[in-house]
Amino acid sequence: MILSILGFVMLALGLTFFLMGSYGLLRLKDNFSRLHALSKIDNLALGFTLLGTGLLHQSWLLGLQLLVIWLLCLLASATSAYLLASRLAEEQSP
Amino acid sequence: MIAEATLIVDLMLGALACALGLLSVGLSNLKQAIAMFIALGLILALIWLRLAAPDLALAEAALGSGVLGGLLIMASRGIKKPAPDHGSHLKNIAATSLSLLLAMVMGYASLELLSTDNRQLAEVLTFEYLADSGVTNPVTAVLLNYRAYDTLLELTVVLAACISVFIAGPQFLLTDKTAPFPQRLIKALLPVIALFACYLLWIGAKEPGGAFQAGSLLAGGVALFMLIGLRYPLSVRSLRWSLGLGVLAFLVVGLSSLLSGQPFFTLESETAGLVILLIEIAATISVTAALAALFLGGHPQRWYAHASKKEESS
Amino acid sequence: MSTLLIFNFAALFLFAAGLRGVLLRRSVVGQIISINVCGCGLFLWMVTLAFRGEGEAANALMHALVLTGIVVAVSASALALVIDSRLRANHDE
Repeated sequence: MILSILGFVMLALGLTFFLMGSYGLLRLKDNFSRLHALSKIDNLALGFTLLGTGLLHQSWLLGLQLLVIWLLCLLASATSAYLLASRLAEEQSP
Repeated sequence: MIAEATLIVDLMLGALACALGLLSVGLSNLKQAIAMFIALGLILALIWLRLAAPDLALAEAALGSGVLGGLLIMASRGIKKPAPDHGSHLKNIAATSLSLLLAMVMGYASLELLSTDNRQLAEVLTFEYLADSGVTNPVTAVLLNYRAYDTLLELTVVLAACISVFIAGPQFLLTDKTAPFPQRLIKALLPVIALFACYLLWIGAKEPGGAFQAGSLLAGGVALFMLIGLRYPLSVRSLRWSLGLGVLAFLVVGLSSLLSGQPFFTLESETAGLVILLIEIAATISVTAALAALFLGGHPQRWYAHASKKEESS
Repeated sequence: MSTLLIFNFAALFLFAAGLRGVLLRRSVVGQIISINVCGCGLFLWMVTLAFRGEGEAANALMHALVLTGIVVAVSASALALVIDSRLRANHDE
């Protein structure tokens, strides 16, 4: 019971962070700060969402799979954020 | 309460899909339109999950969103200013009303078919003979057993597109080696991609998965491999063989059943599972090579010319 | 207002939007995007017609046809894009 409530709280937190990340994407002025918002806040929000899903299902195997998914998403978003940022830096300083 | 909640999710997904479709068709800045199209592909993958089509979700996310989005981005790189879309007012109204009319006719025609109860005969027979078909995933059974001829022609279409791109295409890109940091990150991702593609191929007989999903995932991996500047380790001749392997495997199985007096491509129920697995492996190799070659563009001879020029100059 | 009606409407809306884009867009890449949006609408329509309820197995025949359609659409779009970029290169010379 407590785990289910905690799971819903985690899901709500993840939703809030996703909203903050999207707001940052829309309202921040610089491309670099937008990348910052996307890579940091969205990964954190994804972590909260997956944590909430794992708590709601209460299965260790599912939790392990979700952890691996989160780590892979971190890796992929780090790679793409670096590639985007280096291309932006190239464009800005010719 | 659960029913209303899922209905709200469906409403949001449908509204998002409509909005993204309208934006990707209406925006005149091509890069923004392509971004909307990629997002539409991903929302469509979520909708496939809601409509009990997980195989399609995998294929749409990999092919429809990933490969097609990448191709569109690379094709829009050379365009500085696209032609403006302002038609005359009359043309706008005529086009919009024609499309809406056609959509309404199709909607009226589909109202009778839209129900969860009327199973058609072909559909019932698919599930009745599933035990004899050699696999337990009905989509794989349809693709590789019941309607295998369609899959053979599909692989031929992919091969034909690949050959035409070899002949006609300018080379899209093979940049210099990127910095070591993203190289290490991508090299860490590549074994995971290969493992997951093999898993999808193997599990396609029982669970959602199969040759095309695995092939498109592996093609993404090969494209990543070449984009960070590593050399393609095999020769051009091996590329040609892997392109033709899918069609070849199909034709071998089909013609061998012709030789034993039965119609084209008849599978016996005892060996059907094994034969389907072998054909799927050949099809995966073929689809991987074809999609990676389509993505990288141009004739593969020029990939190596570029790489050897780089080696000479460095 | 059920799931089927929502997705049926969304599918036909996408089809109409794609068709309008094909007729009105001037740049070839834009037209290819519109043809693909039209195709996405058609695929969504077919899968909605193949839906048989929440827990039930859907019509696998239509799913296989849509899968074939997705692969063929990607190949044809790749060829169209390559021909367009080659035409543009020849035109600019």
